[in-house]
Amino acid sequence: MSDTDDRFGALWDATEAPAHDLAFALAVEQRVTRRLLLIDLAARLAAAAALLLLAVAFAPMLAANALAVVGSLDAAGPALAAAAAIGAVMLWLNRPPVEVEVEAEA
Amino acid sequence: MSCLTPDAELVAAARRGSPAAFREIVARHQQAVRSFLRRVLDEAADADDLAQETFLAAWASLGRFRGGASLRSWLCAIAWNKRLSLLRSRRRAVDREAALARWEAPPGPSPDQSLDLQAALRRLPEAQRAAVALCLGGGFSHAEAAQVLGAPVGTIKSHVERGRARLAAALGDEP
Repeated sequence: MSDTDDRFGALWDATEAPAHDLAFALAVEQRVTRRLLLIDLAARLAAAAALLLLAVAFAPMLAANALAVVGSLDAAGPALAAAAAIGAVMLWLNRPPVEVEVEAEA
Repeated sequence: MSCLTPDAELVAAARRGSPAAFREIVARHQQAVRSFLRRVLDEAADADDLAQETFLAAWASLGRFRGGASLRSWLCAIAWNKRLSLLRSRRRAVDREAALARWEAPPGPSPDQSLDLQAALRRLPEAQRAAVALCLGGGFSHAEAAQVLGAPVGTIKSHVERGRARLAAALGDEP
């Protein structure tokens, strides 16, 4: 190998990146994670905007239907309230038993 | 993912969303990409920053890797395109005459020959510098460097020969 090649070799060695660099790998991973978060945020914002647009578009129709449903429930109100109360009592009676640890007497 | 897994399998796994596969791609090729960028950029910190952007861009476009070139060449091609974009944006930002004055300023005398060589490397035209960095510094074949830089193989050979001669001249040797 000539002297020139040796000097070139020294130049390449001086500018060579390390073979293993955890800090660099972590920095790349951090950028990827940040990008994923941005993509996720953009998707959520787009979904929220779409929902908002749908709500605005269908608001008059939904409001009219909601009023009709509420009106029809007026007559059945007491019966529905009674059914809900019975359901709540049944749920409470069927609750899972609470395990109590009893200390054994020595 | 072991260090024996072929690049193509790593790319396929990373495309399916495997973080471990992408981590292995970074671990395996960061040295080549960063060394290339350190040789075509003046500051190591800038080079590392651009290398991070390179891997982020590679992650986002893994689906476009066709396997015609090696993964290393594909990554270095992304890095080179990032470098060109950076140059274009800097050229727009920096006053042209000030940039020229800085570019053509003769290097001060340095007792360290490796610094002389680095200064000589910096004075090479961009494409020549990149070809020299890839072929002489990174051990790329002329064909690989041609894929990275998007130039014909003959042009790369010419760049490397001329660049080598200019570097040798900077050392005071006959080309």
